Amino acid sequence: MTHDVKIKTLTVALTGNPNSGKTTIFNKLANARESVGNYPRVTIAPRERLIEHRGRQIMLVDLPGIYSLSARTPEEQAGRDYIHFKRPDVVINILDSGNLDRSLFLTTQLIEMGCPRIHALNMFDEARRKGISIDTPALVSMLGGPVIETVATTGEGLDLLLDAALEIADPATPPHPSVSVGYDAHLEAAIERVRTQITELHPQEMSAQQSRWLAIKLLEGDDEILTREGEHKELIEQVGTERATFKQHHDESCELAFAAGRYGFIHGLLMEARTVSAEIPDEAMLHTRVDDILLHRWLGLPILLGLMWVMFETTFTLGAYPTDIIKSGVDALSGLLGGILPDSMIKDLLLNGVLAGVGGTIVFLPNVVILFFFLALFSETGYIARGAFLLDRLMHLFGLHGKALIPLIMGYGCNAPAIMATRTIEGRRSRIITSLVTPFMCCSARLPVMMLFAGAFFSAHAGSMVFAMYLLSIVTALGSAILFSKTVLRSMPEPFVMELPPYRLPSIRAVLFHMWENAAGFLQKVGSVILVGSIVIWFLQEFPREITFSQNYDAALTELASQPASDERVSEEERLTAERDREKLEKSYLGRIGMAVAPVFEPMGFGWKDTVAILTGVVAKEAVVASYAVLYAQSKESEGLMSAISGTMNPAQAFAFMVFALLYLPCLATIGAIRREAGSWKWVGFSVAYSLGLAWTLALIIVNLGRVLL
Amino acid sequence: MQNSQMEAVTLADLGPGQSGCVVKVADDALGHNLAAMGLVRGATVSLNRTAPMGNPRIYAIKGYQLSLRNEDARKVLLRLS
Repeated sequence: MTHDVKIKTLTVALTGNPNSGKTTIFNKLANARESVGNYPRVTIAPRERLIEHRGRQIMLVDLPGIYSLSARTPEEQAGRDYIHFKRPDVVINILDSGNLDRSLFLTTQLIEMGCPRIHALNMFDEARRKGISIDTPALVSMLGGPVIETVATTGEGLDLLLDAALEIADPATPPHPSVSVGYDAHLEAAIERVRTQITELHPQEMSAQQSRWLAIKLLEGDDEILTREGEHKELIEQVGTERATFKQHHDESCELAFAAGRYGFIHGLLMEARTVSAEIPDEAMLHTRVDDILLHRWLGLPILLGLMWVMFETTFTLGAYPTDIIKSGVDALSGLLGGILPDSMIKDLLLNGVLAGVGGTIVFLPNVVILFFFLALFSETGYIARGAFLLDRLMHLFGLHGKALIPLIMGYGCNAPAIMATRTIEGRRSRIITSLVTPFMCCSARLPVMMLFAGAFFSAHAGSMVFAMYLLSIVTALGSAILFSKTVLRSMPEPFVMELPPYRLPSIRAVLFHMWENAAGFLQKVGSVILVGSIVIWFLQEFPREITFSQNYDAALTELASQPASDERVSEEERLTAERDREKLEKSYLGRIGMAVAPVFEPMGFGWKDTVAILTGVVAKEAVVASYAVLYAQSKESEGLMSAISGTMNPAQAFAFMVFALLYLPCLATIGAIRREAGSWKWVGFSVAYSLGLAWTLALIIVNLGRVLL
Repeated sequence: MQNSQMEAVTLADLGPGQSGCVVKVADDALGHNLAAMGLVRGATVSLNRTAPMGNPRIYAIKGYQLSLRNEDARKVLLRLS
């Protein structure tokens, strides 16, 4: 990515372990200062923001949270490539002061890369409460770069962090004496031999530090670096021999020896620079007590389910109030525009296309915001990791990761934000499986369709039928997850290696920021996919303008208007208008498409009207009922609609239609979310093909079973 | 390795409250990942908690808590301490 930034803009990259407070620091730095520009995050690309500090423009880059730079995961690779190729002016390495042993592992790799860096001892307050005291000045010389004590949540030390960044980027500042992570004698000898070869192959090109880094990476068997040096056959051969010899003599590979060496270096360093008090602090005791309850072998799961229920319930009951307000706002706007604008095509497009489509989707905003409030709360406190731990065994049976629970539950509300929530799953394979199966969850927009059909065809057992649909949706989701994990997504095994972060009180700011970011993403989608989709459907429904009607409705209506007012006149007027609208729709492009596609549903005996309803449901599932209302020229709420459709299908067909409507396609907003989270149109195509195929086949089976049984 | 007292105990065999010292980690991608997380030769590790269905489990390593499935924990050989 290249940016059109002014000269002398300083690039400062933030890197650190997950849960190190890196993103909090990024947000704090980015928001406390006047933002000069905002480059919102796209898929997994790093987040960037241009800020100003002491008159200097700084491009802050938030790299993904990683434990190591070994390029084993896409996140690690993104982090390493950014630091290696983009060469940021300064790297800020965020360390968890209470967990330095592991945090410093990444630091040892940064030291070897030789990038100018600053170390932030973050959550310094938490470490102090844990009884840990750190000799910060000693760390400066041992790590070869400034060390700043910070508390991200309060903003303590963050200014110093930027000051230090400006200072080390200043050419006038003398460089910190370089440090080096030492390994045991045999490894060091091997490094030296490979390094000699490298300097012969790349004379004058590399500093001693760079060639040492390259030698270490090659000996560690870094695939990518090996490929890059592929042209130097003798070097590759030498590395191969060194690795084989080492393994033969030490009964362990170079990779493991390097990891052990790094942890040895860290151990030695912390022996000197850190003291930990022997007594267990109250806070740690409290955390253990809380875990005793929340992770209890019998109580853990019921508590988790209870919390999920609270989240679900609050989202849809509390969300209903602002939703009503938005709905009446949209209605008021629509009424206002209807009054002001002269009758025209533009008015029709605005009211029945744009406002109906966008307004119909934007009403979900409160639900999205509340859901993300809970998600932020659960993830900031550290509970999500615990939920994943509790459920992993169960979810693993279905080829899913423990964390897949959250998107699946959220999917009952609305699939689009649910798929956005798959971001909390680290592994790419599990993330894709989860985003592919979440659309099967019976979202709230499908509920009206289910209620309409259950009421029309199974009025005695309507409730049970709707409940059966809910069950079918989770069964389909889990069943498909097993299928995907055994077929298309089998090749990438992902172990469950998860850190359990300590409990932390979430900062209100972080929670609000998280909510805002996701709400903005949702609004963006409404402004793009939904807007365009609504306009397209409107056009298809309204055109062609010139239709040859089978009878002259307008003349008939005008004639009726001249007759004396009576109940008969009103009902006759209604009948004629409805008849005219139906014929208009039938002859519109949408109607023609419906008739053209109808043969696909011929085997099930669905008519062209059902086809049109199915097609419009692609934009948003709510549209299915709305289309039926227009097609049968009945008002949405009326009992009339139920009786109007009740005669059109037999019970087996109606059940087949419900199953089809439940499973057939993710709506446009969901498709957009799958594209974003799975990262390619390929998976969107797969999801569309799979769900259509499954829904069609199931519907056909049901109809035929019905023929045999009924 | 001649130590007669040493049995082939893996991380997955650790009992509640027991702790051990890492002797060897499997030499594959997962093993390398575990090593990066602190499960290196010589590191002390203990069992903290077990999930409702006996799997995964939480271990204390390098001053933090790490959750692993039992099948993955078998990749780590220990000497009980």
